[in-house]
Amino acid sequence: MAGATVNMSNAEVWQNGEKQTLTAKEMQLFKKLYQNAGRIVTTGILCETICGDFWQGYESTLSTHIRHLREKIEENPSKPVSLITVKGLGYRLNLKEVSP
Amino acid sequence: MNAAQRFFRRYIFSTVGIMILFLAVNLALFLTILIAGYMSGSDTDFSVRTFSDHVVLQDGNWVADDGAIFMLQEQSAWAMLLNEDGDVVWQQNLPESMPLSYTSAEVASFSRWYLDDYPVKIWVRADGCLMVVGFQPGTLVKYYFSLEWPYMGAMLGGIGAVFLINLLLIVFLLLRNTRKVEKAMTPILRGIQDLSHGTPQRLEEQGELAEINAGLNQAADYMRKKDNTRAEWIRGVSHDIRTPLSMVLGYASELEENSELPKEARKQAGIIRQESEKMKRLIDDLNLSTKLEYALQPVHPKSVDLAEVCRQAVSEFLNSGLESRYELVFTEMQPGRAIPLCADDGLLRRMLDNLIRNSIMHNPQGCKIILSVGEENGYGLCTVSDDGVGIAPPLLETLNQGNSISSTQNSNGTSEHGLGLKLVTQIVKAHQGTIRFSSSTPHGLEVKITLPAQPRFS
Repeated sequence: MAGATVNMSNAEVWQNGEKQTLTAKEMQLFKKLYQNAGRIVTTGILCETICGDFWQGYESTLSTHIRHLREKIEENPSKPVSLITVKGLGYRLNLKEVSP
Repeated sequence: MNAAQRFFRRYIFSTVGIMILFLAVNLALFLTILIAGYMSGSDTDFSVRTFSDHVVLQDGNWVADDGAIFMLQEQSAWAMLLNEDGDVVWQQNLPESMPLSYTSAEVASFSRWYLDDYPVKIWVRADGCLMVVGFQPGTLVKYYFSLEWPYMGAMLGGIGAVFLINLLLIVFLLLRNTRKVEKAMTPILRGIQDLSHGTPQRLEEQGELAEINAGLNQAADYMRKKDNTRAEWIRGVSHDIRTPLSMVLGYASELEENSELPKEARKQAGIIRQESEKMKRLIDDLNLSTKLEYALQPVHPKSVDLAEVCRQAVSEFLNSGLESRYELVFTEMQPGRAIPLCADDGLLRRMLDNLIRNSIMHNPQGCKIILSVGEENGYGLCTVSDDGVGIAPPLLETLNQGNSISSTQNSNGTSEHGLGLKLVTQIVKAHQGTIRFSSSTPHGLEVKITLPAQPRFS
């Protein structure tokens, strides 16, 4: 990702040499986005991953989690480059192409 | 149902009408017979009184004029005149066996009955004499009639009552009979109606018309069996095609991504893959359409959010790499609000996919597709519109009537099966919603779908 590395096994985020830890919910969210990297993931699906089947009405909870996640993985959380909002639909995680 | 009831009402009315007609005709015939009988009687009604006037006392002798004798001859009758003592004072053609004197008892007897088998008519003259005219036996019937008044009244009332009771009984039996027939017929008529709607229901094979019910049941079974056979056949074929098709798809995409192959070959492999995908979709549509048509695939309703389903459908299209000449926009009438519906989300997704794909397919030059979703009066609204070429009005009419378009030709000349939109209509119907195809302004197609929040699934 642009500017940040996430260690999937221990939920650690490295950004500019600083280490931050993702909470369980943030990690679930991130995993879902990562599995569908480069693709739009709808709010409904994201809410379902963190709140379970009865997710209706948790949209604001989701946006809070997204904001926290952005604070940890984005260089500038108010101008996200990796975790993009797709208006009306959901969110998309952009990964930086890692050349092998 | 209504038609049947109307039929039976009309039947009752017509029967009552027939009865009234019957009575009227009978009355008319009776009167005719009376009149005819009266007319066929002797033209010159023999009046003893008139005859009596022709016989007069002249110089102590009784004399009858020619008119009187002619009247007697015409009737071949005889006549005699009795004085106050019962003696014959004048006679004409009197049979010889007749006595010439009568006691008052004899007079009383023959005045009512017969005189020696001769029917007689009498007339009491002003001078106290009795004119007796005797006719040939067999020409007149004399009947003495006398009844007590109360008995007579009861008799007349009784006749009226009997007539009325008869009439009521006939009407009652008629109604009962009709009701019985109606009762027996109604399920059969309903069965036929159900059959014509394609939703046959098993009828009780009981009663007098059990055979007809059994016949209807058999017809329904036959229809169902035929439907099932067809559906089975389509399912079988589509299943058999799907497996090899997956192989084609797999290898084609493998070839497409094989970097060792020349670019041209990879492009061709890509075309194979795309066409195979099209074919796969067609088969899936065909399969689902058949299942919905014959209600083989029950709808699995659960609580879904229509907005989220739309969101996922749009995301799916965006994720799968929509070409840049297309623009897909998702709008919500009530942003951020969930639209809870009881529906089958898989089918809803299919419906939206087909609609969006339809817009893409028919507008190869590119277009802007807007999917808007909202809620109104407990109904979920969903509109898919594009600013593409649109559909010709006659075709729109066909679509709105729920008929499928067998096949359509797009501007590229590549034909597209018309199953996609038919499937959309079927899915909407399965959710008891409504669908309306119309032209969007200034051009393009607009599809408006209304889905009830709590449909009753059969």
